[in-house]
Parts: sequence; structure tokens; C-alpha cells
Amino acid sequence: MIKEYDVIIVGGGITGACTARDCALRGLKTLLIEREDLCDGASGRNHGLLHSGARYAVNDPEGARECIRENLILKKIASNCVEATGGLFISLPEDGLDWQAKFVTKCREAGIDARILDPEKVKREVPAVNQSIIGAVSVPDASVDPFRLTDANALDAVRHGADILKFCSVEDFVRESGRVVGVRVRNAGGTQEIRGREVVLAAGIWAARLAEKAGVHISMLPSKGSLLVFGHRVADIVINRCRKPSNADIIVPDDAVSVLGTTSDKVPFEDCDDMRVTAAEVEVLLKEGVQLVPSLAHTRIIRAYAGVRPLVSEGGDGRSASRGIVLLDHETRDGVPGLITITGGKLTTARLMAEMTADLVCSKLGVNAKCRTAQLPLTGSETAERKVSKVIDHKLGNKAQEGTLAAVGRHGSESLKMDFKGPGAELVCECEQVTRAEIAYSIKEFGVRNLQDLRRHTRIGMGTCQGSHCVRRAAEILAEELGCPDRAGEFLNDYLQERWKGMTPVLWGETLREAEFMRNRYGRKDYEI
Amino acid sequence: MQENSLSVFNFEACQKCSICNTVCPMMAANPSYPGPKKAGPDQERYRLKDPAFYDYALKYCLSCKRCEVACPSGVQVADIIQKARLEHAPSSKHPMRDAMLAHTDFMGTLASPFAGLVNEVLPLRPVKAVLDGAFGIDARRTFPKYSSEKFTTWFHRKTEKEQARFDRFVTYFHGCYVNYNYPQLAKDFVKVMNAAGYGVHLLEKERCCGVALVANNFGRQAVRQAKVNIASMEKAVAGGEEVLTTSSSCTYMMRNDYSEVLNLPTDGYRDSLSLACKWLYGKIQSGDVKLRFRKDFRMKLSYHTACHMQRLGWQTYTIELLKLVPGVELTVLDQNCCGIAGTFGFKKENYPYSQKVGSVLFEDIRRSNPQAVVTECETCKWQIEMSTGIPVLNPISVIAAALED
Amino acid sequence: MGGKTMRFDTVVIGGGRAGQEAALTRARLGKKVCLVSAGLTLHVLEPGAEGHPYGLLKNLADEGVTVLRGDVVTGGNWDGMLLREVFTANGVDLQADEFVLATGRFFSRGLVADMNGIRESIFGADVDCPEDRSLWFDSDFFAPQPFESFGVKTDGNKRISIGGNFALNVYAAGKILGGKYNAGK
Repeated sequence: MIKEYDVIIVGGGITGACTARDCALRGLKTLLIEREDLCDGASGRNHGLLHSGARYAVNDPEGARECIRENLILKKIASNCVEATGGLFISLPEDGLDWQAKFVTKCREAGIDARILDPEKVKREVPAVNQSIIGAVSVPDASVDPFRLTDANALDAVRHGADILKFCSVEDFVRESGRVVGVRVRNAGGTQEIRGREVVLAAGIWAARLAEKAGVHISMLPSKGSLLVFGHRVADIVINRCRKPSNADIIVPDDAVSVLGTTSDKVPFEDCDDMRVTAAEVEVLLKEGVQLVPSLAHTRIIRAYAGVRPLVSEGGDGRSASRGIVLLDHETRDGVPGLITITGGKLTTARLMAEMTADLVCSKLGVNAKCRTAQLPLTGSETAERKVSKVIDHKLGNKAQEGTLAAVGRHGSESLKMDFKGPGAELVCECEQVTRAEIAYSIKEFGVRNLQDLRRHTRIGMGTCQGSHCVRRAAEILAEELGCPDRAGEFLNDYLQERWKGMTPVLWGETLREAEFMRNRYGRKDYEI
Repeated sequence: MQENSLSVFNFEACQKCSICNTVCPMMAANPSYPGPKKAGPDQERYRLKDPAFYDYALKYCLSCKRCEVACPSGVQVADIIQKARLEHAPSSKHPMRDAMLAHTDFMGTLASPFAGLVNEVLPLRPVKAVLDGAFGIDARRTFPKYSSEKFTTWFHRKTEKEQARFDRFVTYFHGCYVNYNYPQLAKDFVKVMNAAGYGVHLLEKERCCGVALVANNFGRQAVRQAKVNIASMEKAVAGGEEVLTTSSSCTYMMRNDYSEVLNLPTDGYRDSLSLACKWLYGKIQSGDVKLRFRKDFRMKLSYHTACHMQRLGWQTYTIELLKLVPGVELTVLDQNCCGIAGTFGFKKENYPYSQKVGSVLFEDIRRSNPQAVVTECETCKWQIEMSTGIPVLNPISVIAAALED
Repeated sequence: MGGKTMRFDTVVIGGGRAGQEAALTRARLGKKVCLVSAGLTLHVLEPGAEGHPYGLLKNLADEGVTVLRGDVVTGGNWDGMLLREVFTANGVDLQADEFVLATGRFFSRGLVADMNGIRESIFGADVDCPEDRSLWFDSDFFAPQPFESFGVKTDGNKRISIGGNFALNVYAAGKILGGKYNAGK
């Protein structure tokens, strides 16, 4: 920690992490503050879709152009976070093909490589797709892991000199003659003031409440989006409905699961910290989802979750409000120098948002430095995955060692730092193939506090059984690695409660069976470890 | 919507309870085998993402299907693994050997005319050394002997005409082992059926059921042979006859894996395909058949439930049938795998695992001290005879021996 | 198709603790009993029964109970409210004078839930539970869960009912009985 930073970024989601990386690469003394763990808010509660921009081509051409530019950049710089699955926009008989024609024209205008496909060919090649389609268009959509992408940006920021303060909330701003000159923060150690020449709010929907403390009003509209996680990949490609954006019209293959979403509903600010998916939302999602992929009607749903889109409101409902990037210079807008807000936007355009923000910060600070984030590969993506896995295989002298390939997939070249030999070889989470080596690495690199944090960096407990198989062992290992063996029970209980929240909205079928099994094993709080 | 969850081989129903691991004989014998839970439903999710997640150690799966019997969720664990091997297994280091072991009928056709020579030569040390070194067939393994006269040859020459005197018939699927190595069992089968008042027909065309082909990743050849058998069985069933076998593995293959692993239609014969003992028990129970047994028959037997028999779930019929034979003193052994798993145990690299897996069963057999072990599986027979020195009989042979002349 | 029917005094459906106890009690009274167990063991959900990997099933065989392992009953033949025989997935038909339904709750698939409701899996017996699925659980994982008290409706002799009519010879046992008595067990 240093006395005064050039820039303090508040909010450790994808926007904040990207902004921290950009500022650090430009040589600014940078601090990123997050009240929880990285990627805890909306950044970790979305589709994991790397938009091609096609979804926005008709209604928001500018957004579409931003998306395709960023899509191509991320595929290059974040190879280990992105899986170039490609995407389809399918038309069902009731949709007609009029919208498709308009859609393809608009995509091409935005520079998106949209190609009309023979629906018969698509039915053969993607057997999961609704077989009554009358049209299909391919677009360069992709799957992106928001946890990995946020981590990679944060790691890169740190490697270029940034500091990150997690589990630390901003209580207030430090003001001097109207100017914001820093923040007052509180964490387990108490409160302190940290000074920064510029303060950037990158706190998603929470930016509105923070800005109020500086006397600034941002009119934001919290928009809840609910999603369902299906137990395995039903298709290897993103599938969208080729019509006006609506509920549950996208299904994305993420790692070993499929994610269906979303809904869009206005919610009060007070609800933003504890989003719960309702029975009605589950029904809407399923009803629409089976139109894309009929087998979803018979696929195990392992979980439901919801995030809050930070829409900046100009009236109207969540879907028609602007989803564009909103960069607010509060010096010019509100007469509060030293404070900047970056909000709106999308996971896909986070790097661009960071670039715009860092440009503004640099101009304020009189620093002349160019953005390099579009060219430099992110931490973990420097070397091709296959090469990394070959190096690991070679070192271990053993082809396809359990969990190593999954670790390479998640961490790219960072997995070369993991020690898969000896105790590190233990496979802890068998659904998501997380080894003890990966756990040890994540604890060291990301300052993990508990199992929820560990999950974000490793996917532990995110698979079919939602942790009922491995959570006890994981709690023991975490407590041991953190040097607090007596806390294993607490880790275990907290994690189960958190998993429960996502399981209850879909508590039937195999998931209810799993719930009974889980309760039988861990249903008593005094469970001894 | 969501009335039931469907997935290939029901892999999504896995609750990760790990009960399959506790009954997997290979997991206990070989620490590098990931076990059915991981090899099956867990890794399947990642194989769907990227075939690179195929784990080479899946070759150690014995396909004994004990995991499937134990699974409280109805996950077809062994089928998931078998399908993954068919789709993703790298090519064998011993292609020639695997082909020899897998193509049981082809090898039988080659060997039978020279049975005497082959039987003389195979056990010779130099020959075993060559098989061991060049082909990867373990030198410690005893080979089943080839018969000089195939069952089918005997059948057509000696008994086919005689069968015509019956007015009711069953169709017999004899299998490769019976045809080339052990025609006596088939002769016993004919004897028992005739005593029950049924004549025996053979299938119009019979090919090896293909269980060894699938286990050695010759999927396409297995499909070709299965189609021939399916057509013949459908024809027999359409003609009002039931198709009976004396091998539990052939039966399981044709009853379940033809549809589930090879995606072929089985509706035309599935309910009419049965093991001879199950059929016979039913006929005796319903009063259709009455067998007359010798009064002086005495035999101390131990029944070994072959793994595929356990998966079929029909051992109860055999056990109840044997209990009907006066003079039989029967011990039912705990169900354990003998370790040979068809062709698995012949392979040099598997021999130690094979024997280690079987050791529990061998010990149980020795402790029960029978005159003979009874089981429906021919490869269990080779393994148990080689490893314990105690003769192994098919239950049909026991019935045949106990019949009044 | 002939050749698959076996006759018993009692057929017990379900190889958990309740099923095993029901089978054992009757076998000791000299009845001919068949027990159908979906798996090989029972210690998955019942940690107390660890030890021999086959749980008590081995002892049952020693007591003369016929045990079908790895098999499940898929349905039955009724004569009015009298159950004559049941069929298994492996193609075994079992006739008996009385049947014991001890298939447990959700994990063991005695009860099956979909997003619209809960049913008894084999005979569609009447189930005592609310329709609204938001009433099936408590949002606190560690609180007693309502779904753990769901079970089939029975008469004073623990006989199941189907469409409001009580079966004459099918008795429920164990967790599938539901009620507070079983909650959390």
C-alpha cells in the first residue's frame, strides 16, 4: 500500500478489473477496491456469453459494432477465457423469416460475419436444436468465462504494479474543497483513508448508491436477469432466437454446463444484494428455452441464479433502456472533480469501457500514455492451451492426469505454476475436476477467504452435485491451507447454505434427490469434521 | 415438462454417492483406474466439451457392470465407459493380438480343423514366449482347448434329423465358445431340451454375439455381426420359437447392448431371448415340463454368479432350478468378479490385475470346497479352472448329468 | 411370455432398512419372501448400516430370502384393489399374497417429483404433500425440510391408497410412510 494513488477504482467486477489493468499498463499507480471477492456481483451472474453483437444489430447498431470489435480482440488476448463456439440465430415457424432478413442486413452493416445457413444442414449438425426451425444464421458468438476473465485482468494489473484491496467496502469519499481526493474504507482491520488523484466508480448497480455519498445522482434502473444452469452441454454452440430480444432466448455452453437466460424485470435497489429466482421466472425460462432446445424439458437443472444489470434509465422497461456504455465525468456533469463513473455496457465490452475510462483518467492527470490492452495477451493466455497441457503432461510423464487438463482450460499458462505432483494430485471436486494443486494456487494468487471465493476461481462445487460429494474435503483442505483447521465446519456450512439458495428454485427431479442426499450428509450444523 | 430427466445412459441421474466405486473390482486392484464414477458420469460431461478429456485409463474397465447393479440411480455406468472407449480410445499397441482375441469366431474357424495341433502347440513354452513377446498375450495364461469337431458339424451330422420328431421347438444360440471349444455343453443342452419334450433348432445364421469385439473397440464389426444375429433371431421368434442360450454374456450383449451400445433394434426378439435355465425353471413351475432325475445323483456345487448374470438379474432362476435337482448340495457364493472379463485377462499388461481382481472369488471357492463350480459364463470357467484347479460346469450340464437315462 | 413368473408369500419392494426388516421379520415367520433392491447396498443414505459392503442383504440370503439386486419394480397387475403380481425392469414377474412398499423417499425414488407435483413412483399411490412447490423446502438449508415429511397416504394398517381406494394387500413401510415421524431421518 502506498500513500497516494493516481487512480482508485471502486468495484472488482469485470469493468473494474479491466480498468485497473489498463491504468496499470499505462504506468499509473493504481488501486482496485472490492467489498467482497472479485467477480461477486453481476460480472459473475450472467450468461458467460461473448457477444458477436448480432443480438444488438437491429436495435443498437453502435452496441453491435462495439461488441464485434471486442469479440475479436478478446479471442486474441484472452484465449484461455474464451471458447470460440460460434453462435446460431434460429427462426421458428411462428417467427417467420422477415426479421431474419433485417437481422442479417444489420449484422453485415455492423461488420458482423452473419451467414444464412441451410436449416436442414443445421438440424443435422446440431441435433439438439429445435427440429422445426425454418431458418438459421451463423454468427461469431462465443462462450467466455467471466470468472477467468476477471481474474486474468486482475492478475495482469497486479503484475504491472496495481494493488488490489478485497473484502473492503468504501464507506465514503474523502473530499477537499468539493474535490474527491480519496476514499474512506472499512475492512476487518477497521477504517482508513486512502488518497487517490482520481476515483473511478465501477461498481455496477451499486455505483448509484455510492455516488449519492458524493452528492451525485445517477438515475439507474436495476434490472434482474434470471438464468438456469443445466447439468451438461446440450449443444456445443451458442443458440439464440432470431427475433426481437425477449425472455430466455439464448443458451450458452459454459465449460461442462449449459446456461439458459435471461429474464428481465425491474427490481428495487434494496433487493440487489440478495437476488432470488422465483418459481414464475423458472417457468418462463423453461417454457421459452425448450423452443430453442427441446431436450431442455428433460435435462437436469442443477441451479438457478440471478444478476442485476446496471442499466442507466431514461424511462421504459429494462429491455428497452439503454444497455450502452455510460462514462460519466462528474467534474463536468455535476461539478464534483476527482470522480468518474463507468457503468452500463456488457461483459463483452468491458475492455473497451476500461479503455474509455483510462483515457479520461489520463487526460485528467495529464498523462500521455496509449492503451495497450487490445494487443497484450492477458495473464494465462500468453501460451496456447494445448502447448501448456503438453508441457504439464511431459513434466508428469503421464498422459491426461486427472484434473490437469481442466486446470489448463481454466488457467492457461498459469497452470504451469501448479504442482500436480504428490498431494497436489488429489482430485477434490470430481464433477468439475479441481485438484488440490489448483486449490493451492488459487488460495495463493487470489487471497481466498472461504469456499465461495474458492469456487469463483476454480469452479469447485459448481457441477452436477453442487458440492455434495466434495464440499467436506474441500473445507478441510481450505482450512488447512489457510492455517485455521478449526474453521472447516464454518466453511462447509456457509457454502452449503449458498448452494441451497440456487438449488431451491429448481428443487424437483434429480436435484431434489441430490438435496435429500445432501441433507442426509450435512443437514446438521454440528457436523463434525 | 421436467417430468423426468433424460440423458445418454442416464448419466445425469448420478448423485455422486460413489457406491459404484465401492463395488468396482478394478479400482481396488489398480490405483491408476479412476473408478466408475469418474470414468463414467463425471468425465462424460467433460468429454462432451472436448474429447481430449478422454482418460486412457478407461481401458482398465472390465465391463463387469457391477457398478450398474449397485447404482441406486439407474446410471448405466459401464455403458457410458464402453461408448467413450468406442468413440475415443487411441489405437491399440497390440492391434494384431486384440484382433485375434476379439474375433472369436474367425479364430475358431481357423483353429478347429487343426484342433489337435493347436491344443498341442499353444501350451508349449516357446509358443507362449512368442505370444507373450510378440503379441502381448500373457505366458501364464492357459488357453481354452479347441475341439476337433465343431458343435454345428456334430449337430447337422448326428442329431438334426432326430430333432424333427418333436412337435415343439426352441432355437439355440450356441455362441463361439460352445461351437469351437466346448461342444459338450451344446450336446448337454440338446439332451436337456429333448428330455423336456422340445426339439432344438439352430438360428438360420449365427455370428459371434460381438461382446469381445466391443470390448476391444471393434464397433463397426460388432454392428455387422449383430445385424445378422438380429435378423435370425427375429425370424425364429416370428416362427413362434423362443431363442435360448447357455451363456450369460452373449445373452446380455444381445438383450441389452445391441440396442444400448450399438443402437440396433431389439424389439423383435428381446422378450423371447432367454437363458436356458430361466426358461426351464418357468416351464417346470407352470407344469409344462416335468424332468425325471436320477435317484443316485450326488454333487457338491458352488454357484458363482457371473457379473453379466448379476446384471441380467436372472441368477435366481438358475439357483432355484438347481435346488430342484435331488442330490445337489448347493452353496451360493458372494457375487465377485473372477477378473478375466472376456479377453481382458489374456492381455499381458492386464494379467496381474486380472488375477488380483479374482483372488477374492478364488478364496471363496476354495473355502466352499465343491466338486465343481457352476456358472453360466465361459470366460469365468477358464479363469476359475486355471486359478483354482476346480472344474467349472454350466448349470445345463449339471441338469443333463442328473437326468434319468 | 412364459418362464419368468416366480411365486412368493411376500414381495418386499425396496432394499433399504425398512424393506430388509420387513423381509427378515416375515422370513423368520417361515414365509417365502422375495426382496427387490435397486442396488447392492443400503449404506448410501443410511450411514448406520455400513460394514459389510452389501449391508444386510447377505444376511437376508442366509435367512432364505430371495434377493433381486440391481432390479426395480416397474408396475403390477391388479384385481380390483388386490395386487396379484409385480414386474421388474429385468423382466422378472413376481406373484405374492402380500406386498410391502418400502421404496423410500426421493433419493431412492419411492417418490418422484417434477416441477408440477409429486407422485409415488410404482403404483401412483396417493401422496400427502402440498402442490405448490415453494412449500416443499425451507430456505434455511439446516432447518427441517418439508419434503422430508412427504409420504403416501395409508389406512390404519398402513395400506396404501390409490385414487382414494385402499389397496387390500399392499403395505407401506419406512420413509415412504412420510409424516413428522420420519422427518429428518
